[in-house]
Amino acid sequence: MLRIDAYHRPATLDLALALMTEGRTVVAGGTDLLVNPRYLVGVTEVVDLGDLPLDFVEVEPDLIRIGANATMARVAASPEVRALADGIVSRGAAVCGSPNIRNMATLVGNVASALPSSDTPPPLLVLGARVVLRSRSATRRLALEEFFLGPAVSARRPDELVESVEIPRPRPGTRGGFYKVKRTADDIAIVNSAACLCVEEGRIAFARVVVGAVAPVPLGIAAAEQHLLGRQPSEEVLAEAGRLAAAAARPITDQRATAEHRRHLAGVCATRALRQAAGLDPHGAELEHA
Amino acid sequence: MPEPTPVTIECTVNGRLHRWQSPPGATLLEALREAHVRGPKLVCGTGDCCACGVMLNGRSVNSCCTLAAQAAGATVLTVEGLAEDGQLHPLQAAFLETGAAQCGFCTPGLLIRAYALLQAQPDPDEAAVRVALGGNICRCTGYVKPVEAVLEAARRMRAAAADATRQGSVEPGLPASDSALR
Amino acid sequence: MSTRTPPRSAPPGAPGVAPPLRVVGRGLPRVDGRALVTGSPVYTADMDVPDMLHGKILHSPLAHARIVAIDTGAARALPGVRAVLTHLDVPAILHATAGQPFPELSPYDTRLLDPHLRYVGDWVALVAAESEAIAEAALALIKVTYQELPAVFDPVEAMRDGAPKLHEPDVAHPLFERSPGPTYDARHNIAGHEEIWRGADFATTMAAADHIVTGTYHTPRIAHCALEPHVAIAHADGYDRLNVWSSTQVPYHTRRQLARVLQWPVSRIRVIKLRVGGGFGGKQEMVLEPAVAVLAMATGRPVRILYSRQEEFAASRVRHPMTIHMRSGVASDGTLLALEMRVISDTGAYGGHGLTVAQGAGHKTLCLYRARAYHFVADAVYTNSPVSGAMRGYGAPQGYFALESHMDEIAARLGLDPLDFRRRNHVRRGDYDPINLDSSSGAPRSQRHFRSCALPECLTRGAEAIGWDLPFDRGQGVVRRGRGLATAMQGSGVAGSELGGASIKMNEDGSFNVMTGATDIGQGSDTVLAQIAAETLGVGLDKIIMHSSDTDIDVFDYGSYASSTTFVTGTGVRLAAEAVRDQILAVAARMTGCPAADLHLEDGRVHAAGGPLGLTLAEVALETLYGSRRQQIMASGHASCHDSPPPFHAQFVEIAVDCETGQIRVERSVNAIDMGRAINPRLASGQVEGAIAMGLGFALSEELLMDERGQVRNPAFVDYKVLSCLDMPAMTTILVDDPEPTGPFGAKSCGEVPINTPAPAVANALFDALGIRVRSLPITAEKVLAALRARDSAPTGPVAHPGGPFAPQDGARHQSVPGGPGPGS
Repeated sequence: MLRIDAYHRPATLDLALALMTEGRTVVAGGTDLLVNPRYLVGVTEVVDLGDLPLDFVEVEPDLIRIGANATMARVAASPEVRALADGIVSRGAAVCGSPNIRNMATLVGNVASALPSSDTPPPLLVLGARVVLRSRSATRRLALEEFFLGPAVSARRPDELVESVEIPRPRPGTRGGFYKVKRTADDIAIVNSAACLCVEEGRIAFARVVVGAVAPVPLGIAAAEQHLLGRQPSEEVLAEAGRLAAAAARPITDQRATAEHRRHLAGVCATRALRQAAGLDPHGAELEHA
Repeated sequence: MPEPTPVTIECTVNGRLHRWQSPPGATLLEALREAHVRGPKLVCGTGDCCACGVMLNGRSVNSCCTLAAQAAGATVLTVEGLAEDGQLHPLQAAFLETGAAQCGFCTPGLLIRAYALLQAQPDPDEAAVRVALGGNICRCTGYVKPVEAVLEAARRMRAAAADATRQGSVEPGLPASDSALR
Repeated sequence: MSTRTPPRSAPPGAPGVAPPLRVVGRGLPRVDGRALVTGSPVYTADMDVPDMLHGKILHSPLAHARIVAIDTGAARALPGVRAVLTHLDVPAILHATAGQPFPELSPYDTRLLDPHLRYVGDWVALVAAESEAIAEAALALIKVTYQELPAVFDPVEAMRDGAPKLHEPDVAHPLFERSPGPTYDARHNIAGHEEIWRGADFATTMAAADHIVTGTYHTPRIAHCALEPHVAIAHADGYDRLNVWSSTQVPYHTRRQLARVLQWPVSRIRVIKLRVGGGFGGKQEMVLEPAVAVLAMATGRPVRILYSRQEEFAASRVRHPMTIHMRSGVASDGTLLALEMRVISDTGAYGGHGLTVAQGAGHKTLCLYRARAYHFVADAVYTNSPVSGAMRGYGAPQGYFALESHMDEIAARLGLDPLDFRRRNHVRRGDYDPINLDSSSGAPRSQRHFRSCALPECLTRGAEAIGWDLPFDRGQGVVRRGRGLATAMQGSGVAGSELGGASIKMNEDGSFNVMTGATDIGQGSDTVLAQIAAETLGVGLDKIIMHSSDTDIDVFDYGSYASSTTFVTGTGVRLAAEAVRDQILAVAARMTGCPAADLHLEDGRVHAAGGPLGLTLAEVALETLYGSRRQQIMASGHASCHDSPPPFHAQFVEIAVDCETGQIRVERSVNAIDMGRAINPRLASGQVEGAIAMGLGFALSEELLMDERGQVRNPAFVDYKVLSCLDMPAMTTILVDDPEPTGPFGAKSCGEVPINTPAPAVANALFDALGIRVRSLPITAEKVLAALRARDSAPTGPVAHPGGPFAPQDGARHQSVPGGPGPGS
């Protein structure tokens, strides 16, 4: 039972936006809202987006737009999203929680909650995704890097709701990788990582590496990206990028893992995501996680 | 305490129309159990074990982390709705015969999850069954017989569907496999 | 056996030939299964009780404190609140809550509500209100002033002079005062202490050994995670009797203990168990029943308390964490000479099951091996931690992790195959239990006698199924593989203690009501007992109507623990059924003119030597109920258990280890169990598979983490990791058939023994894969990586014997993670 005083179910986006204010939070899937008390601090009313026409996966020439009500299951199965960079966004969505959770949880909800260990932000970040924030007065687009401010802290204002996430189409030839380490098969990430590489004439022309759960926000590893640019995607180069990721990590110790272990795994996950993006075979069948 | 504004929710559960007056924050699980639909179980209340699984508008969800109000106007199917006219669904029969239910507390959630799987994928292999059941916690069985039961039920349902096609009719008592209401 | 007529094993007229079994030995569906697969409302929380109130418990936020003042005024004034009870309002009788027979082998150290609070989660106050929400709101309005006391969380610290004391020295412990051996020492927070020697002189035997191997092992605090939380409903009815519906494994023990707590006669209390959604030992305990009882009495209305999942993790019961020191002396040829185990067991804030589980770590394990001398020391220690209690295996999982890891370490030291080493040293059929003696006298005369033991066959068939002797590629890259084995035994009931049986009456359609106190908690005892009755009465399962676990109606039963039900209650059921059968045959003889000795029952009919007589059971029943000489065909039977024939189990596993992440995946498991004879092979294999899964969680991922203030950090499934079906290995279960002469139809038990082997088997497989020895559970990725780092950075030094097929391929030295010295020290 949520301790709330009122439930709203607006029929249109305008009505929903009119309701957005301090003390109100939105529910799309609800799988996070109903189980994490942090979302109800200072909140007494809930606005359900379920009747709004926001469960789209829209394909445009330059981008794919995923609406606030599109579920993880939908995103994981979407042929269009799977076609982007080896399907890393779909793969991230496919390992969030359990099948039942994925039938209700939304990708936008996963992004909006701004938790550093979530599985969809790293793939979205390496693809340069943006959030579309709507209020009664304006629409603004923010790069995801600017949207995530800290653990459960985002740039969303109280009168805004996240209407969609936009993923620009990557440049042709871009490949992706995603790797998640867990304690058991159904688990929150201890560390996860996504990477994108575009290799042209044997050299890396574009590289992005993000590691999750090792910093207050999903962490882009600029040092690794700079190291990769212009080099060949060889084992040594990728391993060095992984070492740079481990060095850049700022993990904490919590009930799931020690900081030292997370730091070590940052390097392992980044390297493995990069190896996937480089099209290299997994080392002797590394244990499959994601 | 200020009284929360109650919500009126109308939905169809197992083919019966329900009308609930619930607190706005009530979960679907609470509302169902309050309405004497006791198949879905309260085990963790945090969406981690899938024992509360129900079909909501054709998708399996955890009712403990769904607001009852989100089910307004919806069609809900719980384990109690799987049997038709007293005849067990093939999944239920397979669970019984295989010994897949021991204490039985996770069984309703497993059956719903398996039901959803076979709706989408009538011919899963064992790996697909395990992925489908991967969020359901069972403490009694080690999952061996539940997985066997789902595979067996799938075999029987495919055989029955093939028979029905040959005979040119749908057998009474078997749920139509593409029914959007279930 | 105490009441027993010689079993008639063959129908008269067919001398020397036992008839084929028709019901026993078949994997028939559970008698109660339909309700489970249809979601019928058969569990305690499914009950609709008119006028029911909801109870909630205020838990202590502090690990050690006294209540200085408690003000319930605001809580009581809240609209919808019907009762608020503190320690001032309820009986202060000291008692034990452990589900054990009287007199309990546990200290009477618990009060229903005690102003002295001993762990985060201890009970401060009870509330009953019209709704759960109101009850919870009322909790927040109770104002408590606590005097915080120094707390102790480490058992070794707790035993030191000057450590904070949890209990008073005058806490009653009925049995400890009487018998020699175990001791209670509140001044040192010792809830139970035992030291025993068996066999030859220990010091001399150890001194004669060629090698001495030691190791220290740690097992964690874990939770039962039964899917159904603890729940109880109490109602004082119109006859001034207290009715309690409870999710319990021990309705009869609870009835007796409630009577003590409430100071009521047993006759005024009725305890009923409905369907239980798992227990695993967490419900071998009186937990919520006293609370709902006093709230029901205070309000005059039914009251239900349903524990939340968080309360389940933090304020119910847990498995005893243990530190176990092993020391063995062996001869160079691999003969085990002296075997020593020292246990420090953390029993938490209260001592129920404390001594007995600590004893179990050695009593249930050391008896697996023939040594010349044994030494066992156990301390169950109070700490300001969640209360440890019974959990599946009852000390054996902890003991076997230590013992079976230790056996592999010895084998490695000697360069022997771990399988051969075990074959050389295991007990055999015909042996007497070297550890467990007559529990009341301590005299070495009535030990357990292993009349059946198919462990050699378990080992042979298990080894063959896993391919133990075939070449095995341990890999060269990031992922390495290893194989390991472990063996175990358990019991079938508690030797010298136990009682169970049934009464059976006949209905006019030839069906039978079987009324037994045995508690089906999901393991299928209702079905197994029905099969035993059906087999004996010559009918199908459809003619047996089971009724169980109502203390007003059903034959007394100690309850579902110690793997007792099939062996003990099953024997009682068989005796009852034989007596009913004899009554039927007497009537049939009268009706047919044939001598009863020439008749037998088969397929619901009366048969003579030549074939069926055309007389059905229904016809016999009608005659008895409505004919000329009327009677109710009915009899009861019960059995107790002087012995406790052990089931034996061997498990072989294959694991894969990712050396960069430290993750372990168990790929294959072969489980070979000797349970005598499986009454229902389908239910039996289900128990084995479930126990293996639970043991794998113990091995790999489960642990209740505590913070420095004694609070559980992970009281939820998000961070208390129970394995899912995706984590399971491919499992092969082999039921070895070797009937036990004293068991009903040859049965022993199977519910606990398989939980003992996964943890040591995985640890042994890890050693096989990488040459690293992890001696603390769970074997997490972090521990694997730490052990690898220690292995790879170790300076040159004494190396374990390099020979033998199971030394690591790359000749790496053997290192272990913190928890004990490496082999050889």
